[in-house]
Amino acid sequence: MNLLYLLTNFIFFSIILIVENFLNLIVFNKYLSVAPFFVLLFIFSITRFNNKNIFPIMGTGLIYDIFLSENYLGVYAIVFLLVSVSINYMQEKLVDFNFKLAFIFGINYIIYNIPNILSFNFVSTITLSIFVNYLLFLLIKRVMRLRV
Amino acid sequence: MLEAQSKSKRSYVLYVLFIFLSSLLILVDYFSNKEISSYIPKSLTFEFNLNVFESTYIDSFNSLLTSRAELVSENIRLEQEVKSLRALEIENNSLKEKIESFENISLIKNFNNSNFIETSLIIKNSSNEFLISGGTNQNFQNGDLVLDDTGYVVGYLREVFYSYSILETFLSQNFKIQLLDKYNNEYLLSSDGNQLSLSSINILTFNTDIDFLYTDISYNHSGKFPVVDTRSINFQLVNNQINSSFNFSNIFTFNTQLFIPKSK
Repeated sequence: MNLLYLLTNFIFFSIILIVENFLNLIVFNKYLSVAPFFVLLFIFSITRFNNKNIFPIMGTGLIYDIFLSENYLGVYAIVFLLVSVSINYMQEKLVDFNFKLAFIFGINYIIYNIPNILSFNFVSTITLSIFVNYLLFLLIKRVMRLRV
Repeated sequence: MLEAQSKSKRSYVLYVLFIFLSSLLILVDYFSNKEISSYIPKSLTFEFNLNVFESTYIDSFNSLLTSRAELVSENIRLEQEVKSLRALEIENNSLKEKIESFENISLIKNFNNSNFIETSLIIKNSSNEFLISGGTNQNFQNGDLVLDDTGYVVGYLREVFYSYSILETFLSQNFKIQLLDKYNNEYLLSSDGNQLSLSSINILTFNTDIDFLYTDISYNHSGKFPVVDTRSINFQLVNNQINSSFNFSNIFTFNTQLFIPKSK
């Protein structure tokens, strides 16, 4: 049963990651990147954070490194795991304030994009992307009736 | 409460352990010169070879038909063949006209010296690099130029795997390419992801009527193809040096037809 859970999550994560890259090809805007995989990671890290997610998250990162980028093997595996831990840690430890969720979302979206931090238009891309993806998160949250 | 806290810590510990494991993978991949990360994409094919089932029953059916019926069906087949040949002829003529018009527009004077292998974009990754179809299975190599449907260079292949390749374009901050003008002056064109920078490497004779900057076989490029239309940018010779920054002019989209020229 555990294996089935891991495999299902791994396949689901991988599909969403591929969809994310395909969407960005269609959107084709250098100031905006749509990140449904990050939104998924955010939801999982806040509502279902546990050790069982390590294999799917790391596996998806390795898939990304092997097939979709020319990075060294393990770069995105680290990024995804780090983002997951960071989201959960911030959610648990930070004191409550009005825009806590948006703040965590923004900070972790920057961590998610660490491999591209040297890009010239990083700041402009990040600002717009955070806004759009946060709206996407709010939409999913409302549709799924998540209590976050 | 304490139990929940310790469980949470245990989770983090395991996550951190796997982060270290991934770091180890990076090290191994680094010292193996990316042998590990490129092993699977270089050997795995995403092409599906469908074996077409050839039915032998058609022959036995044919033997049952009368000669009249055979003649009628043969007539129909021939008629359809003539129609399809006519359609092919029209298509061929229109393609020839298209090639001629491309030759006039894109300055590539002799299409006959190259084979143009059509490719298409598959995915855009977070580093603004594109995955395109075709790899070593279509004889693509690292550094192969990629042209758009107007004949301008949009980038080159950075990494080639078995059935797909990674395309480096002007949108990527790692983009760098050496170019020539018609007076054989040498230039380096690079991108920071937002703007293109042009700087001269070696100026022999400077004239303002350069018009285009080309790729060249002396840089291991597959031919002479236009990259930059200098008529639309401003640059001047200062201290025998040219430096200029400008925005991308030929933006392509996800449905732009791409071609990889291969010399015959």
